[in-house]
Amino acid sequence: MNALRWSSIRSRLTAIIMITSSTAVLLTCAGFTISGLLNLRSRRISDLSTVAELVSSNSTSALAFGDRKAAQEVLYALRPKPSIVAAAIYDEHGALFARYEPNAAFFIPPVNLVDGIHDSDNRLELFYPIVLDHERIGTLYVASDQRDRNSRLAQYGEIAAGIVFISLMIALLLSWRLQGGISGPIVELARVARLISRNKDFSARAHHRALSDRDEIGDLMTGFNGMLAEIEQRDERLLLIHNHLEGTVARRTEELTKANEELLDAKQTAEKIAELNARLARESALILNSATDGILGISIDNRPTFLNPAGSRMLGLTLQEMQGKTFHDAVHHKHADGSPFPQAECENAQSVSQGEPIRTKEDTFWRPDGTSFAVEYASTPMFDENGRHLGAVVMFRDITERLAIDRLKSEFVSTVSHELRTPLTSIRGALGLLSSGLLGPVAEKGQRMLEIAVTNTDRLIRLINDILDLERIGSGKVELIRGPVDARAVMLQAVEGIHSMAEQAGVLIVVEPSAGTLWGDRDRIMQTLTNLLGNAIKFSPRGSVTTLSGISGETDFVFSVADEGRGVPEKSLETIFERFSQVDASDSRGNGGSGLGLAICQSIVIAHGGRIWAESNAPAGSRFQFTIPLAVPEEPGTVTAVPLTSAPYRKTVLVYENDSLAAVGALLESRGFGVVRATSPAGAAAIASNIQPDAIVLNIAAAGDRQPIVELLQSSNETRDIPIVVTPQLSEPDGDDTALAADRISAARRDDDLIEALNHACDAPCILLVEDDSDLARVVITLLHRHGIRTFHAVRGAEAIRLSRQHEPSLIVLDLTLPDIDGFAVVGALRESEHLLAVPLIVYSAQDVGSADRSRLRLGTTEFLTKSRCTLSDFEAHVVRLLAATTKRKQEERDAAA
Amino acid sequence: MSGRRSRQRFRFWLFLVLIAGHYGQRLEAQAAADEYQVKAAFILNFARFVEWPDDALPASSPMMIAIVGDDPLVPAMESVLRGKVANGHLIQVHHRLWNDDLTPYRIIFISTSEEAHLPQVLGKLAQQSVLTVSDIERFSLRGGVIELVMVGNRVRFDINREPAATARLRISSRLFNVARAIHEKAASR
Repeated sequence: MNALRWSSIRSRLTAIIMITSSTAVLLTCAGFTISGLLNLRSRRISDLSTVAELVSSNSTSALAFGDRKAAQEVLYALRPKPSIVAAAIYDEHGALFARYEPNAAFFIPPVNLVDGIHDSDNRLELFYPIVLDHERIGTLYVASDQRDRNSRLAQYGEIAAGIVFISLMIALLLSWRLQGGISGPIVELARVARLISRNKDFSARAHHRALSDRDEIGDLMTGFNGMLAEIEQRDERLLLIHNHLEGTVARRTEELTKANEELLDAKQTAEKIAELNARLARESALILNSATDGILGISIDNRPTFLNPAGSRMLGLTLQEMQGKTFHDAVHHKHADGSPFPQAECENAQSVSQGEPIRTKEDTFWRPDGTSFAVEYASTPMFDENGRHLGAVVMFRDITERLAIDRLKSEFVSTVSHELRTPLTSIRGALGLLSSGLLGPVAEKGQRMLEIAVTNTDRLIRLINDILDLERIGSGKVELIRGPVDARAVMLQAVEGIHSMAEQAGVLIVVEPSAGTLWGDRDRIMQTLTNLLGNAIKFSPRGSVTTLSGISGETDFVFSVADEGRGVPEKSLETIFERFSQVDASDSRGNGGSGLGLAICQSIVIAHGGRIWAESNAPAGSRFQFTIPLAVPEEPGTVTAVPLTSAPYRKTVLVYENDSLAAVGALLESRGFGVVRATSPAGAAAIASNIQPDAIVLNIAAAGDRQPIVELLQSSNETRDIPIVVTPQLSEPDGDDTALAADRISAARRDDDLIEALNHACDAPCILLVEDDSDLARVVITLLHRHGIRTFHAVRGAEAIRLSRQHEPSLIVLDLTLPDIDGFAVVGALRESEHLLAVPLIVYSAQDVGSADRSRLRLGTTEFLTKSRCTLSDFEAHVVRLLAATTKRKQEERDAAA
Repeated sequence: MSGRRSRQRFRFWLFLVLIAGHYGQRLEAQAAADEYQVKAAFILNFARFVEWPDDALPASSPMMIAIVGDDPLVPAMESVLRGKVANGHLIQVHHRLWNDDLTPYRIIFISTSEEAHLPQVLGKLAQQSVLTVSDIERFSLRGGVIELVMVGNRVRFDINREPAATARLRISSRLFNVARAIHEKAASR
């Protein structure tokens, strides 16, 4: 076996060398053979071509003239060339024309084939064109014998076999000598390896002279010996480790057994926890399912993940039906008015995806059947224990019923406001006039009764106002008319308003004003201050001090009202702002409060975005404080003045004169007055009442004749305020005359004087009162008559428009609720007349007017007064002030024009 | 009935006879036409095996061939020769009478119809470099260059070297190889 192995590697190397070298030699010989054969063939072809060229050239004439004999002779010229074994000439149609066949063994093709070489088994054939003057006239065929090819092949084979044999012998000798250098060391390595595997003795080493060689075989042997040394060392170390390992295994087994027992325990605990969790999940599902509010879980991309049964009922669809849609697309895809509402525009959807909590008081959700419902909802973002944003929980509630109730309530409020306030205002006005004694003396007892009636009417008005205020402010229905408010001014004004009450109560009010510009509704802030001051005075003993102070903070202004009264008990500080809350029930009767004052204050302050609170004021009394935001400084808004254009408007004058003196009427007509004539006192009174002229001119000779007509005019409500001018030539300095109506009868001396007096009389202020409540109108007219102000009264809107255009009133007082068209339409119509654009307007209505509505109600200087919120005397003061301002402005314009 | 059939049969035979006669005439005419087409091809080949001096036939000038005489088969010859090219010269064939001006022509075929005027024609061409061809009997011995001869049903030709040399024509040896006879000089007039 040993010997066989040894011989095996050696003989294998030898065989490899032999096979390689013999293959190379064989291939070389084959190459030479093929090359020789190819050379032979190409020599033959070139030989044939030369012959063909010669013969074809010689045969042209024979072929051209169809001379077969001559052609035959040309072919027989090939006889000295034994390699040509056949030849022929074909005519231009390819038919055989002449032939040469020295050897019968070769036949000639009866027709010519394609030009060129044709290689058949034992001959090489060539078809060659015969051309005369560039024209093909026939074909030449020549064939050469190549039967000698096989004998040449055999000859080549013999030579090749000789070369292969000799080269193999040499290769065998050389390989025998040279392969020992490679096979020797490998044989040695194999011997040592066998030794080791048999004896398991790693101390054996390989020895060979190739060890000292620097080639791969040397490296292999050195590496082999190194490996053996390494294995010997490892063996020793392994033994050591093995002993150590046995101990470790025993220890670990023990530990594992213990750990197993612990795991079993943990598993039982986990099962218990899972059971607990399942119970909790069931309970929370029960809670969600029984909730009456809709609860919806949505993922971060707004897709619904959970919906409880109540929510499903409200929305009319299940969670499955919402799949594939975002929550917005499923139920929030349209605005309340039915217009499309893309998700990109929905701020709520974006807030939810951004993880912000939202709360919406009123919105609309749509059901798949196309119906919708009003909804209130809140969304709370969901985060997992790592603070990762998962989505949100939306809780929503159908508020359709609540909205219906709200609507009913607000309808009730507006009914009360109109139906209750207007009659009360009339009552209060009438009582005021009566008690002031202007309408005639009243008995002392009656006077006392009247005062009781006035006080209680005031109280009733206040109570109604308070209730309405509270409802409207609290529900956000009253819009605050915000603007910059000077804090100092509002404080001083509030104190001034309450001054008389304080004096009566013997309470001293100290003001510590502070500068600051607030952003708010001046009237409402004033109302709050007045309320708090009133409270302080009411609950303060005589001789005590109430302090009003203000401090300007960074963003807010803090008002403070401190008194030295009996204070508020600690437990009531929180509840004192609730409705009808007073510290003890007896207060309301004793101090005449409605119990709503503080609640209104709180509503106003909260509506302003401020805060109100009460605290004890040591050592005695209480301190009420509230904040109002400061105005952000900005350019003061400029009020654009409405340009005043002179109107194409003729003043109407009623002339009452004797026929003989008709010149006055003509004069006035020539000066641009519209003139209406009357010739009897009764006629004049009737016309005056009917057409309401701007002035009446009396051109009557005798003073005695004037008396009846003046009295007639004075006796009627409709005519008594019309200015009267008396013509010059007949007027006398008669005290009786002037006493009749001192400020209304002017005496004109000459023509120009007459015109001037007339102009002056026409410019006397007149007011248009638009009011459908004729009781209230009568009270107002009576009131204004005291100031000598002429008042036109219109009940209907159309009448108001007609009268305005006819008389150009100095001031218009307008109620908004009219039988035909409302006050807005009246103002709209008046705005179309240029000369009415600048007329001052007082909107005097039972409703509070919002800022949007206010802008639609503007003429000249426009003021808004709410019936019963402002007393009749306030109203009177406003009217007088506005009239004075208007008259002054007109006077200035006239001066400027002059 | 039978009369009608015999009448039909007569008509059929008459038709056959007429057809056969027509074909016989045509075959005869065909044979004559074929002969003249072969002769025309010979004339074309002569043009290819003969060289004219450069002054008589400059390169790229047309090869003018005249057919003299009013042989009715002349058009057959014309149709073969027209438009052919010989040694780079485009061949043009004209039909001429014996007394026409024949100087532009390099090859002149003299029809048998002109045998009577042969001396005049040849005399006119004595100084010209012109190849005269004719199938007039003994033409090559009477001063013509090439005489076309019918041997059996094949066309052969004889060449006379003397008039060829006089006309400064160089005739290729390959033409001599296929000639029936080559004369060194004219025998007699």
